[in-house]
Amino acid sequence: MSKLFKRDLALIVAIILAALALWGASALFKKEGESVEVRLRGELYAVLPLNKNAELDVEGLCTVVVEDGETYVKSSTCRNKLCENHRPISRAGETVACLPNGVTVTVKKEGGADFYV
Amino acid sequence: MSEKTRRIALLGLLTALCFGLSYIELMLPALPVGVPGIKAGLANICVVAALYLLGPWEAAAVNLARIVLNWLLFGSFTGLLYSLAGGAVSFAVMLLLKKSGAFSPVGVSAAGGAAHNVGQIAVAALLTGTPSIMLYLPALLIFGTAAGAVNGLIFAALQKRISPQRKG
Amino acid sequence: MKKLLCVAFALLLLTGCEAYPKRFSATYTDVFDTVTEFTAYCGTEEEFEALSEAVHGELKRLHEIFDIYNSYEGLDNAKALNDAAGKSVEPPAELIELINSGKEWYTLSGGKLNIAFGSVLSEWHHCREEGVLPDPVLLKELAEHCDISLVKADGGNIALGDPNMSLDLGAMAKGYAAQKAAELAESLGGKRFALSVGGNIVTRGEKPSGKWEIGIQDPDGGILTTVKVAGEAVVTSGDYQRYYEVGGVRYHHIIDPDTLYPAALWRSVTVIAENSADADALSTSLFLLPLEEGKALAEKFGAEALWVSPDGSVIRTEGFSDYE
Repeated sequence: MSKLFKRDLALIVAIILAALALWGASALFKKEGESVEVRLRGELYAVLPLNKNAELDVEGLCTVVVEDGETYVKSSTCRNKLCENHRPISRAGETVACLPNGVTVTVKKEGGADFYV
Repeated sequence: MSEKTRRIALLGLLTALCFGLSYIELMLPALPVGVPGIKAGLANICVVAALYLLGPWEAAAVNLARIVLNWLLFGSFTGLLYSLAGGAVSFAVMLLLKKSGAFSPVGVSAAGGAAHNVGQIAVAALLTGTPSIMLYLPALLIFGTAAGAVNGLIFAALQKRISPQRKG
Repeated sequence: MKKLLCVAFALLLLTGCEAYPKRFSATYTDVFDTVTEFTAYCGTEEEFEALSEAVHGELKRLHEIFDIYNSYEGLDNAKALNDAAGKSVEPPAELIELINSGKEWYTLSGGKLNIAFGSVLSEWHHCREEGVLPDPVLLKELAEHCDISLVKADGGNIALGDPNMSLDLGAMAKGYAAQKAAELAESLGGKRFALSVGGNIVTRGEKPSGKWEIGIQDPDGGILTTVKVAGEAVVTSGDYQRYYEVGGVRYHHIIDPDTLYPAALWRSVTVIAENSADADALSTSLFLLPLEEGKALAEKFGAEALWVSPDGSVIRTEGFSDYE
């Protein structure tokens, strides 16, 4: 019985260690899970990782830039230029929109809330 | 009482007990931890008991009866799918560990509890198309193991008390 | 026995996979000059498309009715009413309903929420686009033409008693439209969905993994708290949502009718209420009212609220923390 008990204990400890390892891994994964979602007239156009610098041309309408963990609209063909003047965004739920062109740029986070207000 | 009659009676008894325990668990307040799917799984004591006192097929029958009856009486259909997945994975793990002969009912039940939660959350992630709910897995693993171990201890205590009767 | 069990098992799994709802999402950028997001759990993509199309269509229809910038063929919308310069028009029932509700809210908010404030608001709107400050003398003159008692609703007819007056439904239209669109989606069989019309959020049912989670932004950045709702509406009015800067000073979009300048009592106010139209009007009213008056108003509607004051401190109604 005591031999079995020792093995039981080893099994339980092994499962708990595995759980803790998974927890640590998921914490790392969560940080890398931030991404930039670009939509054109509602349709998903591109998803870019937030931690990798990139420049994306959206059908010649807007240029979306990801730089040092932030994203912004660098240039746009729209008239009011509200999107170009918007400060760079980096937090989950923040959006820069170019409504005349129907382009939205949103920072998304894996496991975050459904909406941000 | 013939051996066959005794086994059928015991099977019925365990199924009924299993159902009673499910009902008791339903009345317990939900744990305020904010992780879906965490519960004590008391009814699993009966599945473990059937596995040890009767055999794999009888244990599978108790398990399936528990899941289906729960769904018919108090559950939702989505809950049924989670339970089926959890029940199947948990049962397979417990059967294998018991057959290995390396563990007591406590270890078998603890691993079963953890496996139940793995099966449940995997199906939930698949069906909802929301892989991020797998982030709950570590908490579910730890809690499932603890609950399973406690259930195993309860069964071990029960087994001590009922085994003399078996011989008589 | 064994075979029977296996067959039962297989059948349950098969029917289950088909009936199980999946998460779908759609974004619209062409209504209410904001970003709208519709998320729902549906059995099939076709089911979601049908719901999404209905919601989008309803929002478009209401957007045209409440629009004060554009005219539409054969529609006596808010712009037509503003342009009629005192003459009576026969607008759609929704516009009459929102105007009547606006008159009630004027009383409820002690004059702070005024849909007849269009003349002043359009001057601010114009200045925001130009990046300049409005002339205080001009603002005072414009404010002479904001007497809501001159908005005459008589059956199906509406007339603005002052030809220089104009309506601006911005503080109420999005919440009202979100409510109507959600009711439509519900009547079409939608059970688990959330609709955000520029931050006016309406929820129905729950996600398979639990309630809908809505992050409330800290005006200085980051997330202040997360509220969990299933069926309620959530709206935030904040000075960080729409603003422009002149000479390093920020001017946001919620104008206090008494000072004619952006309100400075609060950084943001979040409201949780049963009805999205109420929630929208409440959040604007509470943003303009002192704490005690705001609390009393929220209580009238059984709503919960969270205020962020300029020094960064956070005040909650008693029941707000039940949602956190």
